[in-house]
Order: sequence, then C-alpha cells, then structure tokens
Amino acid sequence: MVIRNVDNFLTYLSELLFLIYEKYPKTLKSNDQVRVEDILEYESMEDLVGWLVDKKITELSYAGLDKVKEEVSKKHNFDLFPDVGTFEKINQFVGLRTLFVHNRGVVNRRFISKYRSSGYTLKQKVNLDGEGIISWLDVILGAAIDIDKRAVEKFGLSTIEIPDLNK
Amino acid sequence: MSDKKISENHILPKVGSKALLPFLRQYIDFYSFVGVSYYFAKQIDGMRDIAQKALGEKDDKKEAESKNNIAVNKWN
Repeated sequence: MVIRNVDNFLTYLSELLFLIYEKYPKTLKSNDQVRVEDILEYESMEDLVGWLVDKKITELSYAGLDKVKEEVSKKHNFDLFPDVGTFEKINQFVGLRTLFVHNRGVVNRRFISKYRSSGYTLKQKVNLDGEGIISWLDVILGAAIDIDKRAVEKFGLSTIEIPDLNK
Repeated sequence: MSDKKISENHILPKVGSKALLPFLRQYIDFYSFVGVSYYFAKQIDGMRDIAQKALGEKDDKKEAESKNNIAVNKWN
C-alpha cells in the first residue's frame, strides 16, 4: 500500500515533467552525449525530442527526489516543494518505500545516514498504522494538488476537467 | 473547486494537468481502501476492548465469588 502510494506520486511527477519537457524541449539542452546510432533511428525532430524526453524522465526517475527537485529548479526555475517540511516528509516516504521494497522494512545504515532526522533507529522494523498511512496520503495529495496548480500556471500547460471522483 | 472532500485537509480541484487525473484516480482507490481497512481495524479494536472489558469484569466477579467462598468456608 505504502509502496504503491509513493509510486503513484512519483509517476505523477514523471508525467508532469514529461508534459513540461514536451512543451519546452529546449530545456533538454545539456552536455549529455547521445549516440549517432540512436539519433538516426528517428525520422523527425519531433520523434527524436520525444525519445530524449523519455530518456530524461527515466534518468530522473532513478536519480532520487532530491535530484529531481534540484534539476527542475535549475532547468525550469520551478520549486516542486517550496515547503521544506513537505519535501522532507515526501523524501522520507520515498526512502521508506525503498526500505519496504529492498529490506523488508528494516532500517539500514543507508537510510539512517540519508534521513538523519527520521527518528528511526538502525535495524528497527518500520510498521505504519492506519493513522500513519492516512497522514502519508494527506501529505502526498496536498503536494500533488499544489505542484499541479503552480505548474499549470507557470508553464501554461493545457488542463482537463477533473470529474467528481467521490461518486 | 469541488465541494467534495476526500480528506479533512484537501479539496479536489475542478481542473488539472493531464498528469493529475490518473494520480487522483489511484489516490481515491488507495484512500478508500485504507479508509475502509482503518474503519474495520478500529471496529475490531473496539470489539476487542469491549470483549477484554467484559472478560475482565467476569474475572473480577469470579475473583470476588472465590474470595466470598473462602470467607464463607472460613466461617463454616
């Protein structure tokens, strides 16, 4: 549940970044090297840009949330998480997700060194109760709504109507 | 803004980027699942408390009866 919830948020960020890069492909400019062989696979500039956007998003999705925040701030002058507390919480959720996926939810040295203020201790088994999970959901939802509203305004992204999802 | 709240602190927007809708759909699924599970967990906790309390009262009663019997035996 926790894993899928964090994945849902990270997928949202990837898809949002895709929309931004797709609209402003020039922000893909970098010193990164691309093989001629790969370039020649695409018949149009549009297809090539689409591939570059995909490549960039894949790289960022493996880089970690702090790197994504840094990249978006540097390249797009957009702060994904203006509230430090929210960023720290979500970044820690990502770290806990990794613990659940790769370490059966047992706190390891890597987690402790990366999330010093988490309050968890080495070898502690992380157990989240119902209230804990609901508070996670709440923080993640708030962040997504906030990011989306600001991104739509800043980048002039096209919008769609959100139906009443509570029905 | 929609007037439908899905949590205490946030209200769903009426419009959003193309990336937001799939996120919200999945979020609602999670929220419903967690909410329902949490509700039942609370109910089970509540039932356990009631059962424990009832058992405790029963034990207290047994203990009182037992003490009473000892007292009665002593008198006898």
